[in-house]
Amino acid sequence: MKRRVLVGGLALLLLPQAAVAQIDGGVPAQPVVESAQAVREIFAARPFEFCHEPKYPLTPAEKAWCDLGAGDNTQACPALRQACKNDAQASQIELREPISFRLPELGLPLRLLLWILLGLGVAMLGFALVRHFLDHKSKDGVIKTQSPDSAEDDRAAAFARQVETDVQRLLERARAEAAAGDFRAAIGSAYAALLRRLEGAGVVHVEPDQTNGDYVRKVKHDQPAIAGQMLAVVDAVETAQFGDGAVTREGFDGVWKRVTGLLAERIGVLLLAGLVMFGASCGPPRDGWDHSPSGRAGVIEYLGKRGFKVHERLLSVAKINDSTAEQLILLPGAHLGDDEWKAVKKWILTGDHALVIAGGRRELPDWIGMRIVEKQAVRSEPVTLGDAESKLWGALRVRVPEANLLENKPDSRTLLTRKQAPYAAERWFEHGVASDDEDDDYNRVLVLADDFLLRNASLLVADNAAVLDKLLRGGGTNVELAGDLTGLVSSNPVESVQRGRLGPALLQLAAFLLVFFVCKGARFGRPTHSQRLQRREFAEHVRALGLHYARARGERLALGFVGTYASERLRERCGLRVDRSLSGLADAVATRTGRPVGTVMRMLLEARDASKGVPADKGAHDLETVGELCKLLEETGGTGGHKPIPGNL
Amino acid sequence: MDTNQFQATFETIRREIERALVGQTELVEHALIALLARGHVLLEGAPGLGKTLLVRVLGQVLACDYRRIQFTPDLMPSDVIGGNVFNQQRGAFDFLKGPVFTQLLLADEINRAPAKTQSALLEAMQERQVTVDGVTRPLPEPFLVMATQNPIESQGTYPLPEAQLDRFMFKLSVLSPSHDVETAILRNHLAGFDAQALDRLNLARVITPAGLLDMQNHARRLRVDEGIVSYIADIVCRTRAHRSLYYGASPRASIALLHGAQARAASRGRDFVIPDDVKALAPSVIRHRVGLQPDAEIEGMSTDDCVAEILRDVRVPETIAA
Repeated sequence: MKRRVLVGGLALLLLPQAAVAQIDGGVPAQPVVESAQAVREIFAARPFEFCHEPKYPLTPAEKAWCDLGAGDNTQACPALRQACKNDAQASQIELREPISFRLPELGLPLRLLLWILLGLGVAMLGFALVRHFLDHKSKDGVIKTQSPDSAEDDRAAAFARQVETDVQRLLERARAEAAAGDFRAAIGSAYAALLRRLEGAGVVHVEPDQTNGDYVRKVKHDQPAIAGQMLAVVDAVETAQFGDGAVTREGFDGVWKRVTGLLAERIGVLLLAGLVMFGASCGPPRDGWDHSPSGRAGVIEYLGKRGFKVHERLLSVAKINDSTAEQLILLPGAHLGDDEWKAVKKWILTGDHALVIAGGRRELPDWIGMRIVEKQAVRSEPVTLGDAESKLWGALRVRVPEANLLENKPDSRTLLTRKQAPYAAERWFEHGVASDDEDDDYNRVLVLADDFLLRNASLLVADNAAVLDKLLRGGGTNVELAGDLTGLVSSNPVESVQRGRLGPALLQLAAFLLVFFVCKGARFGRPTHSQRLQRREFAEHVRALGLHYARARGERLALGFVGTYASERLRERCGLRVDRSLSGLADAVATRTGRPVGTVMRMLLEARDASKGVPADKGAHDLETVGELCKLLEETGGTGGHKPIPGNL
Repeated sequence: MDTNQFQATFETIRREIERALVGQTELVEHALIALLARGHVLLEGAPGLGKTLLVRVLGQVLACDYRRIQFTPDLMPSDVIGGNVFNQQRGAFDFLKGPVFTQLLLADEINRAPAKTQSALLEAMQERQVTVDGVTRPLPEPFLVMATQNPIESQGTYPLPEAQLDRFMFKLSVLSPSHDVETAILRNHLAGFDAQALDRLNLARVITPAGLLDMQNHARRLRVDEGIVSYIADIVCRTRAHRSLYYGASPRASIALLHGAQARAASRGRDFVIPDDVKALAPSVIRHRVGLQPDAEIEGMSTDDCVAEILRDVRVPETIAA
């Protein structure tokens, strides 16, 4: 039984992954569509905006497809011709090489030196942290910042230009106002720049109800190191704004120096750190699975229509031997280390598999026997099919933009040529060695000089779509695409940390929290201000109000309030919302509580008189009536959180 | 007197007071500001928090005449302002001055006296004079009333009427001390401090009444920008239209806020007022001059909440142009 439960639980756990795999599979099985028709069907869809929007902004690289006639395929992509006539207005995000840090093989002394340097760095970081907390704790807490010289001013301005144009505009405005002799306004603008920068750093929030003092207090609390400078600036600003003395150039210069000093030093460092952290958190952009001319969404759809089953591979290529795919396409974003290449080699040599390497800045291992040479082709040079391919595939034309070329060994076979040099070549392997035997469709490595044939725009040019189909057809229809995200997924959180090399960062975070905890003590993480109770129970309100009036000798008023409340509740509870007569209510309450009708009627009448402001008769006991009414409420029960009224009321 | 002298004197007075009264920095500052702005102060707080001590110490440090009236339910107006007494030797009525004829008056537990007696102070506080049997007599200068009331007890008390409350420039809440302050108070007592024997502290008489008047006049001369005036008016006007307030503050509140801000600015060594001065004093000036709507009271709101809301809504003058 336990085992069955365990299996059920595992199934539940695995279910979402299976779903993800299905989604990744993307293209369900469907009848194969003829190549040109498939292209037309694909680009008829709205997501391929460049085919439907004449003003679609193209990048310079995408414009290159226009020169190759992409815009002429008006049947499949009617708006591209017009888009091609416009200037290139968009820009492409450059793919970055991932930063991999690996210690070089150094001798013992150098390695020791490296560790010493690393240790020093950590010690300095710790020292900076401790000093920060000590500063924070000290009463004055103000670290005097030296005013920078003019070179530092320029550096500050340059820094401001780089990171925040808004601040830069304010500084420019301050300069202009100072040049025009309006020093009061110039001081205001310089101060505004400082506030905006502080806001950008998350230290203050500029709001219309906040005074300068509020900002100073916030800075004093969050950044005590700059509070002194900030206070000096605020003093000068307020003197200019509210004082009656003339504002001079010297006054402005003083503010300007302090503001630019603050911008350049502390806050600049804060912002820079923020930007670095932000940059570090952003990986390389996902390699064009989109619907732009440079993307691949159309290619994947096209292959699907042509009978391929295309999956995006997320697991590491090192685990390719566990894959059921027949063909693996390495896109430029896929970065393979030694382990991955070994796994791929084993996968190719021992099974019936094919590998397609679609360009990329990578050193291919020797066993592939080919090398990609960057930017060797001339744009005007067409790509031609090899003799065998011409015979087999017919007269197909291939056009791609300026591209790389290949260098290959003699035992490889060139499929596409450009300027007498190979553009696409393949090599066959059998029992671990290269072979001339092409009978079997597998054990093949196909190398393309670049990935242009796998871009959306390529499908619109010449016979590129058909050629792509023919090139891949020999490797099997079950295809996996390895791109930027390949190898970034992990099977468990620990592996994620290992893969992301997050161990040191997490350790640093833990150390930081530890320091913070030591500094702040048990109060850390505990709310220091308890939340104020916003709303009390309504019955409690009424009781409090009644007591309030009773103490102020307002029994009559209290009876009026409580009486109105009690009458309404009694009507609700006796189901007399329609019948508004007091006698009916008295009858119903008397029946329900067993009290004499006359007593109930007397109470209700007194309550009504009190609520209408009729003065009390001599000898009236309003508070007693209030108590009696509350008892009636208790006896009739109901909701509303009613609590017993104290007996001494 | 210049601004620097003003600031130095203010700080000296404050330091002397804080020798006896520990941990009530804001209370002391506001009380001094009221004094320098020619205002009166209503102190509200639980018993034993040092309200009376503050006034006594203030009297010593300022070298002013100091009187205390313990308000009781049977206290009569003549017990406060004085009255005409028949002089048998002369065969005529002589005016016997009441305790109000002093420079520093402590009206202790003012809400224990009936409204009739409380009202005896109205003219004294506003006009700084007393009229008895048609004869008006001026009160000595400077004249400051510091009244105390206990917010907890309600048996046998008479809430101050709105007109009386409006005469007080500030209503200050005396808060219970923190653990550290409490410890400091105990240490003081261990070291021999006795609130009943202030002479032993040898408190310095920092300023004479004439010097105090000089400071008051200096504060009144401070520059107030047009934007600040508008800011004050905005704040006070909004109390009259606030949804949670039954009635708003009177123009007297605006004036009190203006003069209070001037005194605060001078105490900080400035010769001009900034929005921070206004914002810091607004709660103390307004909280007792407005009445809460019943529904707001039921919701648990306080007048301080309303003031804070108003301050959030009002735009501070000379906000940065960015």
